[in-house]
Amino acid sequence: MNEILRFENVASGYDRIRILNELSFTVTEGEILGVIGPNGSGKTTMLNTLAGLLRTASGKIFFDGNDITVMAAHSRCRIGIGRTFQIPRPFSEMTVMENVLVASVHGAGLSRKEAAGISEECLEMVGLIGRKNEKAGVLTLLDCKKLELARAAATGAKLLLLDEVAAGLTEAEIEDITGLVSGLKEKDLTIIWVEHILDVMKNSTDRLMCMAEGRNVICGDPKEVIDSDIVQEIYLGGKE
Amino acid sequence: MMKKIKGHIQEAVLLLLFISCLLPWCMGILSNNAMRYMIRIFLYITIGEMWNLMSGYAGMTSLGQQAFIGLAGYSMAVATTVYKLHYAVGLAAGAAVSLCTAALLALLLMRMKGMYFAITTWVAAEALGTFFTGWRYVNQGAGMNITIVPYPRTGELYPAALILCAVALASTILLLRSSLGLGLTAMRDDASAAASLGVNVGRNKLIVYLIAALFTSLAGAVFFINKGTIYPDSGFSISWTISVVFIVIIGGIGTVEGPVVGSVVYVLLYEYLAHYPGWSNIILGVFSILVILFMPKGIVGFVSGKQHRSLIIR
Repeated sequence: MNEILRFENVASGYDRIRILNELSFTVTEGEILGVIGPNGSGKTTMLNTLAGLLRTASGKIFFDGNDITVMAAHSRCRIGIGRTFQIPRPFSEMTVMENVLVASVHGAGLSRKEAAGISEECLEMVGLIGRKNEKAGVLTLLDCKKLELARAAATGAKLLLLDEVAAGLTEAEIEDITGLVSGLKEKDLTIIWVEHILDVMKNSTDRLMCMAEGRNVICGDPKEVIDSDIVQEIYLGGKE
Repeated sequence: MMKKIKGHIQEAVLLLLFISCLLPWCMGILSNNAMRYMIRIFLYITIGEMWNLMSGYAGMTSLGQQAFIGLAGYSMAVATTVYKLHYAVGLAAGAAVSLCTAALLALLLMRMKGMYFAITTWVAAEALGTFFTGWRYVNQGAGMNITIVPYPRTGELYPAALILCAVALASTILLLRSSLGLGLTAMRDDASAAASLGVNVGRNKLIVYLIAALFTSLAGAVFFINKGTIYPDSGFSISWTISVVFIVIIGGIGTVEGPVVGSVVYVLLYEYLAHYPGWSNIILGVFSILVILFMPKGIVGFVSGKQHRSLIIR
């Protein structure tokens, strides 16, 4: 399996507050890499840095063998990095379909006609096709999260960044979303999935990375990582 | 299907409006006075649509579009009065000077957001005004009397202003329906989410800024031909921005119809209030506060209710 993404000693943050410190890790094509870590450990900052919404202060990021450290956000999307937001950010005055069209027209660079086809496929996949003409602002949290998934997928992404897609949902809804994510993996997408819910991470990821203070503390088999002393200590407050 | 019809209704209404403005002129039944009001409405619609495109869609709230109005007015005045050129050449000169200035300002402005962008546009316009006040070539603060031989009659300016307004509206609608417009509408709702989905936010902003400079400057030049004189205070005055903000907010920001409705209301209200000097600004102010409180989406947003109006999908 080929390496699709590599972080090399990446540091970044907001203004003068450094959040990522010398973060290094790699992602293999086709896998789901789960990311856990206490609040403030830099999970979302890592995604923002990877998506190009935050500038990298030092270190390098490679995607598909190319150095993308200084690439603009929209270009990163166009070469195949799609993301969802922790708090869904639908274009609320646009319809559900238009939301996805933005991704397929601008992100995937398709013509209007092709884009409409792909967008409908993506909406079909997440089960929102029936609501495609509704304003995105009226969607429930679950539907917003599904829309985030559909939009990210419609960019034609090779690498999908999921930021707490299961947070705030009920058990049944979590199963719903987890099923969608597995479905995306079967479509040969590589996924980085940030989530707090350990059960989900244990069962649905191929590898798990635990972050603390902006560093990669431990990374490997999900069960081993969660059971490791270091994760028990920093993430769960010590082993009983 | 519904959307298809809706899209055509918008076109049909605008076409009808265009014809109903053009026909009376063809038949020659408009008085000079009526034409003067209409010209002002057309020019405000043009400037308003452009400001709306910038602020309502691209997230660039400018307080300094008068920079282009003044520059174009002066360029036209110099071309016609000093160089004795046809006023059409004057319009072209105005547009060219404004576009070049806009391109230069963009180097600075495209790195700025929100308040910083707004203040910088304003400062740029003020600086230009101050510069023209001291510039002997354009007669300093005393301004210029525009002489064009033969001076275009109101009846000649009327179709020019109408066509300018129609082209500005048509460009706005076409732009919003294009892929660029899809990206712009997404930026209006959430710019960084749009960037994450592949929308080139910086490029879109630049395009909108330049288009706005072009149409705003043309409207400014026509305005000063109609007026006959230009001073630094009238060309580069912040009151242009105040009028245009009023027009767009009252009409309905983020809608194509908003500035059209706003311009009509503004010109009529303004003319009516001219009978009450001293009170007019207070009344305009109270009126805007009431509209903002009770119709936060403007008249168009209020009338169209909660129904979602899509401009993009056909």
